[in-house]
Amino acid sequence: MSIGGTSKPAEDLGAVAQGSSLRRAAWLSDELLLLDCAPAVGGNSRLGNGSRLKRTRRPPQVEARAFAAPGGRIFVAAGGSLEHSSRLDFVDPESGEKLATAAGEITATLTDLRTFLREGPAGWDAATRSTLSSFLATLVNEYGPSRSLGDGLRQAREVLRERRPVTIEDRRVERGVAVERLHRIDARAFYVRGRAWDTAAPIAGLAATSPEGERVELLESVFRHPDLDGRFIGLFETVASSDLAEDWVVEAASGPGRAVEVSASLAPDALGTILADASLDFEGADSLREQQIRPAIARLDELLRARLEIVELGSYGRAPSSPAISLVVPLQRRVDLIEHQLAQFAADPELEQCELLYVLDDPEQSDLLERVAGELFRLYGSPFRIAVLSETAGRAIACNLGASLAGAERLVFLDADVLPDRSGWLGALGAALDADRGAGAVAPKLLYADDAIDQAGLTYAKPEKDGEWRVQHRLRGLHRDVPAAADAGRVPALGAACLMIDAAVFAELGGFQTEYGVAEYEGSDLSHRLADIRRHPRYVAEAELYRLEGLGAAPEAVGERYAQWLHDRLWGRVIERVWG
Amino acid sequence: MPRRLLQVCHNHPRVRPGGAEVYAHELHRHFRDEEEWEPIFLARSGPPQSPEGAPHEGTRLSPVEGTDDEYLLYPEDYDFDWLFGTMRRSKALYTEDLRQFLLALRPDVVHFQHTLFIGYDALRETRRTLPHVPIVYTLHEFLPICHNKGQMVRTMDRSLCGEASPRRCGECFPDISPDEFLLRKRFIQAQLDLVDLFIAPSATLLERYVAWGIPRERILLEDYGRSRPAAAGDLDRPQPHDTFGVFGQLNPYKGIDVLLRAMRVLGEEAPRLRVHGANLDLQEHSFRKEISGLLKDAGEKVSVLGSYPPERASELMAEVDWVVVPSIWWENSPLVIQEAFASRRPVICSDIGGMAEKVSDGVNGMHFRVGDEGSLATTVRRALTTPGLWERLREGIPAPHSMSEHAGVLAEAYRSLLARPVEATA
Repeated sequence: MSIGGTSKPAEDLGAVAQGSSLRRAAWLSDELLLLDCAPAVGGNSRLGNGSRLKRTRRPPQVEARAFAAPGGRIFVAAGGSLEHSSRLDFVDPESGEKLATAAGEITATLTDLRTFLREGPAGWDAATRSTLSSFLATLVNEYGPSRSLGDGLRQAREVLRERRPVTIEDRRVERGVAVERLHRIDARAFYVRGRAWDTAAPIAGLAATSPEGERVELLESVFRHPDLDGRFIGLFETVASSDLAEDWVVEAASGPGRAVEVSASLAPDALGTILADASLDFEGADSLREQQIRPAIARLDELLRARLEIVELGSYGRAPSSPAISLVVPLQRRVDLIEHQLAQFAADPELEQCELLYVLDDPEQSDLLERVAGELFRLYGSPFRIAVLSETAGRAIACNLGASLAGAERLVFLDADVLPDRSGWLGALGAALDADRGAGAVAPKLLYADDAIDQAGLTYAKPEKDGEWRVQHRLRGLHRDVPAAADAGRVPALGAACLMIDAAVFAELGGFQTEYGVAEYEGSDLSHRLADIRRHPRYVAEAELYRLEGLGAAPEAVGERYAQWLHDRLWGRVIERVWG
Repeated sequence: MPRRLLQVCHNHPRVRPGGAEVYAHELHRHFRDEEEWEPIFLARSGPPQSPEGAPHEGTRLSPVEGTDDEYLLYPEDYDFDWLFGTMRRSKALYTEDLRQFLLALRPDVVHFQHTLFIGYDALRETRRTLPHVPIVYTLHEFLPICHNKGQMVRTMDRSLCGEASPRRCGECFPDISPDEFLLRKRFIQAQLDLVDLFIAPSATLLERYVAWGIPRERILLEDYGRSRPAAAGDLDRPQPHDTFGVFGQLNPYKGIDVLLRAMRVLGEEAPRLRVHGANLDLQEHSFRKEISGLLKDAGEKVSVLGSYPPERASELMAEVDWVVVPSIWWENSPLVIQEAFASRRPVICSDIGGMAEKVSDGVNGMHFRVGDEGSLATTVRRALTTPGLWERLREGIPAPHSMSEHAGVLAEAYRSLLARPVEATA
């Protein structure tokens, strides 16, 4: 990173004759040199911790940062050939004012990092050491993560940090701290679930120190509640981006001399932990979900969407040049289900006017999908396309991205475990959408394998007064021919497992909301947003399809509780007003 | 120019002489002598029935040695999926091997005798490669309907099953979800939907398939025909008519245990019983143990004579007075009953399905309550003690359905399919 240019020539700035004496130097990484200088005489009031400096004197210019403490000043200089300099002046690049000088033969003072720290900053007070450690950790932001910088920072942290007694996770001991889960959300955001306890005093301090050495106070940011038995849960952020997965330290203190620590490593599957925490039910659970869970999920979701790509893997056969409908089928676990849908579609003349697009939500199965697709096309001869997401992202995102590749003006989202009972379902859905000008989306009757109704649209229920509204499958469990299921028309909402919508409407709504992770709530959310454009959801009784969840096509829904809460939070009032 | 008739079968009788294989091959041989038809026989081969794999590198096909109109197909490395009746690993068997075969031979009619070990996709491939060629499919048991070896017998207690449904099938196979069973049904039906005409050898079978979803108008009720002369067995037998025989596979569905328990019930009155049965050694240990215990109890009255080549059936039936068919599954049109009637032997059979349909109680045989050894013992006692019964029932035996009559019916069906307008193919 280059420091902002100064308008004055470097030579003009080096006016101070007396330099601080260079006591020792050491490489923090392959790129960064640490210099320990004696405190300035009279002090440089403007030299604060983290001040950005510029070393002048002779080209090539290098950049530097400074850390000032009563016991000395640490400069971090980046660039080659530094050890051959005998005098370095550090100048504020903004004002040009000379702030510090390091004088002395660097080569002669060069030592290893551990010695450098032990003979200097290690003697400082704990708070200053901690601040220095955090300061050093921020170097990652400027110079980017590298293996050598990571190693150096971890070594520095181990010398500088205040060590606490290490605890074991045993609730019989008087006090302790444990980390159940620690996850990275992004480079500077982390999610922790742990437990801190002291049988004699309340927890007064809670902090995490990154492997690179940045210390973050947690007590204010994480969620704690008397019903959670000493648990702390939540998001925290570091100033410096942290790249290392091992050797986090979490410490808890309940007073002077009553601090303990434990080390922790980052675990995979942040979403799994967060959704599990979202399912905790206790007095203050709503606050947990509001303050910690939702921001964490929203951030994960945002990051995922930002880095996701959809790649078209192949196009088999020639689809109609201007298809009437694009069928978008997210494929999650069972690629083999393509075969079963093709076997049904092959006999359905309406499919001839449609484009069929399979969107694989699992890049690891790309090779398998390509092979299967090629073989099935040779056998069935029906045209279809396949695309894959760059990482597993869930059905809502798969549908949204699939829609972006669709060529027709009308879309049908169809899960891979949904099979038509008979031909004619597409026509019935389309006719209903055309006939009711106010209808924004339509969905069929979905059946279980035993001909019971899975859903005839969705409805809502609130089992407990003051509780949350829950999505319920309309007429679930009744026989498919029950008279009530034959009444097509407006329903409170539609599920997403099979849903027809015009591409323009879908685009106007911004697609499926991607934070739910549960098809019913995604469909319900979309249905509610139809009202924003003065449309409504409609159920079509004549279109009947089987929805075979027992096939295990979709991953086990772990976020049901969160989806219910989020849905209630976003739509509970509307539901209360309209359907309550 | 003769029309080329391709029959596809799940085994060649040279590999394993099962009833359907023997019948299909006899039909093939019959059409060799008819000028109108040029028959071709394609049978699946290879493990487990035959240890031999494909003999030539780069092809899964080979002619049957000594013939120019019979082929073997070796799909052993495709991993046959019993649940769905398809190849799990790859579809290349259909889109490459079978397609090449169909394009090289260009049959005018394709008659599937069975798709076990080959896969229902063979129908899809045939329809795709030869869009206008009539496809005929003979139903031999309930395999498309029932995952329990097509027997429609419950796995937990071997009781009879009258109707397949996702939940009932899931009860028989707790490791397979009802949803998989619906998927199975829809998949198999989607492939069978490409068949122009089904042949059902019994009304029992026909009705079951109609109930399952095959349109009635697409099924022809036509029993198997037989080629072999029945003369060897058509001999009178001296009094007393007290020798009973049981023929065929010795598996739990064939009811040999019911018959042996009836022998135990009869005790001193028990008649002589000749057991001509195959494949007892392939059955589960518990079944083998049960049968060996029952045989021990029966003592010298029972002779266990092992398997027999199909062409010797008449000769062996001539050695008995009564043929017992005690199956606890429905049966279709048991070849044993045809053999018995060809040898003019009255049949004592379970009172269900294809057995009850083909044997008229009190006319050419007797029924007993299925699975009930007491009922069978009573029936055997009646057979032994009723004067003139054997002779009377013998008189009631119908003339055998000859292969030429049978082939005539099939040929007529093929002709009418070939005469249909092109659009009418399924």
